[in-house]
Amino acid sequence: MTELNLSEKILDKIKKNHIEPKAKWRFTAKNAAIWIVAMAALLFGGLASSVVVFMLVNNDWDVYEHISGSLPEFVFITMPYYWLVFLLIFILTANYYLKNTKKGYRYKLWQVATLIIFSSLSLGVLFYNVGMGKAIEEVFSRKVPFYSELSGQRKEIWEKADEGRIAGEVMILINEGEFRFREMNSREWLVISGGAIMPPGFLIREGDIIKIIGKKIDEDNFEAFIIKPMGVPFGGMIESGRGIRRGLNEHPEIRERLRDIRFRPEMRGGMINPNQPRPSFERNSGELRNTIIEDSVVR
Amino acid sequence: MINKQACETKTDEELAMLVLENQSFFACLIERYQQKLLAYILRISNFSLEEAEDVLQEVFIKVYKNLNEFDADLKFSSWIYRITHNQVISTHRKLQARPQGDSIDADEEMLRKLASGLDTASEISIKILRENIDKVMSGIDAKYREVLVLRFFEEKDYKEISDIIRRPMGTVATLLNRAKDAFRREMDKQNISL
Repeated sequence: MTELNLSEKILDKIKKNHIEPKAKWRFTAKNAAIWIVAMAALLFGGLASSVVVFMLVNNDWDVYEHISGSLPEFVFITMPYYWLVFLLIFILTANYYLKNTKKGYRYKLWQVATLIIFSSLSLGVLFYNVGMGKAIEEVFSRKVPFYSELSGQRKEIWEKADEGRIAGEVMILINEGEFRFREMNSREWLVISGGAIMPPGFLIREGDIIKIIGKKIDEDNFEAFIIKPMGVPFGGMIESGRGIRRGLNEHPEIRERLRDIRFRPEMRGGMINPNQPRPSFERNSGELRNTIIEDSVVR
Repeated sequence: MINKQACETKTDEELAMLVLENQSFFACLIERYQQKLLAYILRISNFSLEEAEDVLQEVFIKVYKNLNEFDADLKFSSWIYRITHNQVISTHRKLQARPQGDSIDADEEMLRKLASGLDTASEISIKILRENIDKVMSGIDAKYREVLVLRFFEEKDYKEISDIIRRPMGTVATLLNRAKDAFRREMDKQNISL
């Protein structure tokens, strides 16, 4: 190896080119910036998680068997893929920046990834509980181009009048067992709801946003077999599902008819039994209460 | 110029702090590390001696510029080796040359240590041992050669290697095991025995 007079060469170069050590604040700022980006990615991951939680909680688990053939199929068609992709992007970004902090490289990938996923999901549940999941989903629905198309599967499920599924607003309560209804796509129906099964304690009011499973009678009339509110509080989905299944067990003719509508398209149209006497209803201040309901808790 | 005796009793970390007050102390750090780092650059790259000396100069300039980034959480030697490692990689990218490793240039003790670390008993002469190791090292992947050089020639422990290449210690252990396997496979492939 050659003998080097390197120290003199380097010190001369430092003096000649006026090289100076970079100021400490620049390194402090750079480290802070890395942490800020990592934390921001975690925060956005939490927000994306909150929307995923919102969409999963409000996912019609109580009536899934009337929407698709099986639970796995239902999960596949209703997964919020858009938001899961967002969540993945934020997790990967947080992982990259955390690994680039001063000591981040000392931790294994699975340790950092576990921490990030756990933090994102925990933040997601927290943000969901303060209503942010719902708020973000609504803003995106209104303002983001192509958002409706990307999450279309979930919306389209409830725009299938021919298959017996509609969702929208109760406009006018006409009498016991009938109300005017406007779908989300602005189509209007006269809904015949006598005998419809509803979650325990649910009352229909004018202005309510609801989902209806039933049968299209003709282009203007729809017969409801199951009516449920648009959103169900966390935990309420289980009770709702139980209540609906109990109702179907007590009225097997409705269950049979629902099966026919799903598997035998030629059975769509016409009422179950146009001569069947309608159950009695109580009408009280613009509400309809079905006497089938077991729990009469007023909303 | 600083008196060399003023440097002898100081640790690397103390010298790094003193350089920020008096530039002349940097000469002590340069003299402590120039031979070691030049050998390290030559071991992990295919640079000529001249190219390696240019890289070494760049390393020391970077060390000087970034002195305020150094903190006591890290050993100074790990930090300066990390800068050297990164500079070799970026110079390779500029020259668009693949790291091949030309000459290990190690002393007898290091060569015997490598042979022993790879569970091969070496009774052959040092000249032949060095030639054989050079041939095998040039045939294995750069990421494996790097950890073998840091472990057996630079005599770094797992924590220091972790700090130099910025990977977790568990990953360093895995890389070293794979590096040893790669070395043995290359030995078989080239029909070389140590």
